Amino acid sequence: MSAPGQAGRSRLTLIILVLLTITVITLDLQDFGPLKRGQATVRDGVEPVTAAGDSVFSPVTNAWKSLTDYDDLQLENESLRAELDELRGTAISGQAAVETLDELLREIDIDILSGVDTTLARVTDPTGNFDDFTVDIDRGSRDGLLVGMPAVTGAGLVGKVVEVEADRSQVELITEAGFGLGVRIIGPGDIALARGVGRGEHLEAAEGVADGSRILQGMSVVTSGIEGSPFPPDIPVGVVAGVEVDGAELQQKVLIRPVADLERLTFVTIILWSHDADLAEVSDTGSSDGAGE
Amino acid sequence: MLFRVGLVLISTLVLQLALFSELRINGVAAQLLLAASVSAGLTGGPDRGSAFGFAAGLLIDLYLPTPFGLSAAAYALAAGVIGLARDSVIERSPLTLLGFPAMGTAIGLVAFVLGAVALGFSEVHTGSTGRILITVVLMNAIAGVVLVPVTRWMWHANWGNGSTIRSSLT
Repeated sequence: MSAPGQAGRSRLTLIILVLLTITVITLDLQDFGPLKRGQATVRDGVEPVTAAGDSVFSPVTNAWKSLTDYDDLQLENESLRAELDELRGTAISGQAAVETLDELLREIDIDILSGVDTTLARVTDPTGNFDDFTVDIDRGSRDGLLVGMPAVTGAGLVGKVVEVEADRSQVELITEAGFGLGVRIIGPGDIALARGVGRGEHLEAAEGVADGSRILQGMSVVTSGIEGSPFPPDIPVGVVAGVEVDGAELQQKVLIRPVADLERLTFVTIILWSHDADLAEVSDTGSSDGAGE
Repeated sequence: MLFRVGLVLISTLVLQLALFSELRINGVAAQLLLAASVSAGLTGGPDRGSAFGFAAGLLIDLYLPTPFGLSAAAYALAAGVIGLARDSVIERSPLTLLGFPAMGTAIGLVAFVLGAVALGFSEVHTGSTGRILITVVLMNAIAGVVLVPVTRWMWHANWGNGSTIRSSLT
């Protein structure tokens, strides 16, 4: 049985820890600046030790990964081989398909990375078991990253940078619930607001889709780049995976399958493009005709 | 003693980040800082255990996208509960040394997931939660075999070292 003094001390410890927890969580959810800076300072302080640990343990972790990932790699190989066969089949299936593709590419004008600075970042391994809605990358403010910059792969949009430190950043994926982005559906040209609903799920776009619009499965979807959008225009986002019609409200909900493989990210390219910087540029160059607005 | 506590905290953090985060089984990694917190509660009692758990949780929270302080609360709770529960054990046995870390890990993980969902981070709770929980519980139970003696050294404690329980607080 506990002594009265010990019980009192336990109660005091409990009260202090509960108060500390509430304070820390509240400050963090409010994005309290000094707390964030303190976290970054501690991380930077520990970084040399963890980097040394990485070097020491890398032979073990590499050996482990080569053992455990072997089956995955074999499956991926088979899947890629099947895809390649399919692509070969498509390529020789007729000039019509090639012409359609050319037309589509001209319309989309996909050359998202020309003329803008980019930096390649490695996606670092997650620390926990439950942190599935963002990915950490090994680039930070020292590499020119800012909050809001788009992250892409060769296939298309991955997400945007939401937290930046000196040598690491966090990227929120487009499928994260609540993630919103303006998109344009190639073909009908509808500009809509697409939202993430959860990792592994399709994006959903309802706001902005015209009632009578004829949207078909397989149509390409790119960023709209409309005023206020945090993304430059014409970055491939996905393809239309389906259209659901709400009979009562006569509204169409478009399901968009992301083209980037968000489940197996190893590297991402950060487009060093900031919406704020772009606005400032527009404001500088267009001050004569935009002054009154 | 503070030096030992600091040393155990930093060593465990480095091991977690550099080694155990990458030694995954079916995508699940051991949570060494949680195992250390529970072991600290087991060998040091509820007060010292929960304080250690809070510090360990804050350290790992630096690297997680969930709210800062959530792991701290979960780890402190797990260590505190195990610190209280140890008093019900009369005889030390290998099962005790495996069972307490396993039980504490389950408490900590469930508290973490419930806390995250309550704070609006519902993505934390997926269909994989049960699988993650069982895997981490098993891994941490094994880690406890090493961490219980380590935390006993850290506290200069006797718990689990003899055939009867002698609280390090008395």
